[in-house]
Amino acid sequence: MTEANHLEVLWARAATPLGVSPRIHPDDLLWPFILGHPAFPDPVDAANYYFSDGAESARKLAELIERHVGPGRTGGARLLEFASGYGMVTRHLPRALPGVDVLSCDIHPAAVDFVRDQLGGKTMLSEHRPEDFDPHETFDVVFALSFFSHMPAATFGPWLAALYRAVRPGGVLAFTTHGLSSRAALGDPPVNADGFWFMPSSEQSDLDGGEYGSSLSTPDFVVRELYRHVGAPLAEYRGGYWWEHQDLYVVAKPIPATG
Amino acid sequence: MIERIAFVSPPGCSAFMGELLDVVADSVQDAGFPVLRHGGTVTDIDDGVTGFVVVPHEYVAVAGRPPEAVLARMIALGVEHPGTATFEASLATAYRFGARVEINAESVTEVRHRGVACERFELGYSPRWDRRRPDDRRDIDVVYLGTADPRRLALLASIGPALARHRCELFVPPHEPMTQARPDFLLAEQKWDVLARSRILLNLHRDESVAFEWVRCLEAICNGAVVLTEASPDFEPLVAGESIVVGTAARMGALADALLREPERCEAIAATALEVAMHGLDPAGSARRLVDIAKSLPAGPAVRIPLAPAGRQREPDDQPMAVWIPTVRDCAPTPGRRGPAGSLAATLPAAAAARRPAVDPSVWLDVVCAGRPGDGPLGATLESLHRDGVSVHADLGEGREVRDTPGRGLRRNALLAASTAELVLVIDPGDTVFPTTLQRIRERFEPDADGNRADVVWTMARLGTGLVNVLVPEPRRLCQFDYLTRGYVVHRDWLERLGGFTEDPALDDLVDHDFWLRSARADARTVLIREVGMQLWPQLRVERVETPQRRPRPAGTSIESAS
Repeated sequence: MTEANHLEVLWARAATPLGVSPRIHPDDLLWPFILGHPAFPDPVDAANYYFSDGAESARKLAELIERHVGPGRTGGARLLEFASGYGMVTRHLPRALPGVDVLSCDIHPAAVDFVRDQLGGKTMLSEHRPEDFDPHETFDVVFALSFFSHMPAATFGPWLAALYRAVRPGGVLAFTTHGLSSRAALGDPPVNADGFWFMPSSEQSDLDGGEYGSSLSTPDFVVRELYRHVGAPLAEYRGGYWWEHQDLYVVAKPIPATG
Repeated sequence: MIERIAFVSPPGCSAFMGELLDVVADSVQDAGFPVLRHGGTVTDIDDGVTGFVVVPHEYVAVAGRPPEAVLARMIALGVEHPGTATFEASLATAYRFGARVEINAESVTEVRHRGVACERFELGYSPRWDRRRPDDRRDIDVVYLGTADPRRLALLASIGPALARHRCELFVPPHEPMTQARPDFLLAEQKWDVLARSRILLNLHRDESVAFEWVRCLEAICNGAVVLTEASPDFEPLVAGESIVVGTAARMGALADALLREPERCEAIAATALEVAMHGLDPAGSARRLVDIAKSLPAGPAVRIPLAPAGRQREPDDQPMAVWIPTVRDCAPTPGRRGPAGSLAATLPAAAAARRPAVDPSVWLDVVCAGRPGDGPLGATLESLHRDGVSVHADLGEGREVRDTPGRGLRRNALLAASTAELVLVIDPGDTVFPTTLQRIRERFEPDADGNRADVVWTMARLGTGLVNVLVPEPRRLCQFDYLTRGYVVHRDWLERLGGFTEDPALDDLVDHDFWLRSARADARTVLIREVGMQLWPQLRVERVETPQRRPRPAGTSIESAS
């Protein structure tokens, strides 16, 4: 058995109980990142983590949507999954969010193709510059998991604004960041006076580090960026919520008063 | 000749003074002289050959001035500190007594300086105070027992963050006559038990006084606690660094922290202090001198007035309100304000019915944080709440014109309706919570042995340079003062029972005051954690507020007293 075949067997064993596709795209850099992580010395553990963690994120997203869209009202709701990558979470969404209309969006054309062709999802290609991003429709929920944990300060706020524009009135923008709980894992980097730190490199080695690196943003920084670029109510904040270290922010778009 | 000494305190007098009279009476009795402890007036029991020891200003304020013939047989026991108004009141009253003793050396000097004869009654070890246990288990790191005044509260506020990582019990009752124990004012067994469980007694001077608080400190020493105090000219034979720890107010927090890191040093200082109290002070000698003083007073015809004049004795509810309390704002709410108008509370029950879209068991605490212009930075608040299981729901009113921004109460109710956890922390943007505070609050919501649980739990909080949320909620006091504010955790069931926060625009500045007033009137089960657990954004100043009763009284009639 070749190494590739061996991995496919491992993936199938991990994915089948969860009822999702076992395929992992060769360019999906999350897989080698997990495989090389010291927490998973055995490839079996890495495979189990890849699929089970995606399922866990989908479950959390489902809870989040139910909290903010309302119980029993998620059917027919529209979700934009931004920076969906090669579908580590996306593949679990049909089971976690039955009835929710999902559009997955990523900057990698190959990822978009993979999610559409192999995972059966609706997709769109993202843009490098936030001002160019326009999905031509609005959503009940726009969700960006571990996207702002890679943004430099210059585009952090503009991307918030771009994604917020895609939220329909009454909907929410939900995103995660590297926050204070991420500090130790990032090597306790020096946070500047604005409450921000950035390093121009990430596990996504195919992307320009200056555009997509690794960042840490304190709540003070995030709230200020929200105020500057969005001006919307912060509906929810949970420190260290995602993967026990990334902060979750949920921003609501009010329904304009009538009359 | 005087044949016995009666230690007299009329009903309505300070319980603290009564305890002090007990200890002095013990010493005299140990000296072999007949004593009597009487709760009433001197003319209840005067027989012409009894000398009376009273705390002068308290006695006269409560029981009235005794006849001249009896005054000659009375000994004033002065307990107040030079530099305070109560010292002046005490001396003005004691001037006409047959004799005077003071428990502080500095007071003796001051009284004599004014040409009035006076002796020192030196307190020391008393078995009455000693509640040390064989296991010497001390679960309280720092205890504070002192009435509220602006200076002390400012100091406690500055020390608070340094103490936050330790287990503290800050008992800070209002500065008013205390005739019975209350949650923030301990008496006798309760007090001594707390001292026997404490490692450090933090001692801060009141107002302008620098006199050593001998009674409180000896009670602590007798119970094996280390006294950490501000400097005083009056603490000999205790020695700084050996039997007590002395520091400037600014260093109190650091000193407490350092002491607690060195338990052996703590124990050594406490042991040395106890040795001084037992053998370096001379209450027995003082008792003998007191007996001699009493014997020198003129015996005479008995003056009996069996019943106190009507109206002399105060009922608890008839007591004047506080001399000073830590309030939130610089004007008292209108006395008797009844809380929200009828428009209140229509929304929350409806919201409650619609809420809980998806209860998330991983969230044990929802934080509602509704801001207004002038509030502080939300980011600082979020950073302080950076803990698992805490979900913050904020509404800063962005995207709206100020004039269109709904009131804080209405927006809090909306945030409540969108959240799910059983417990709710109520704060405003800019407020920050110290690291261990929420866990300590959570523990206090555990049901007791009878299955009862708290409705509201809160800690003291820094606000500007002062301290607020210090006193327990009392309806009659809340009718006069806005002294409890945000910075509390409330059980959702209780909030819904109240109908949520007031949405009355007229009460938009008093949303929390209204919450506390209605909670107090509805007999909420409230628990104050006696620690400084939060820093509130300084939206409002802490000001001195005086009630009408606080206008200066003629000397000799004041009953202002404090521990």
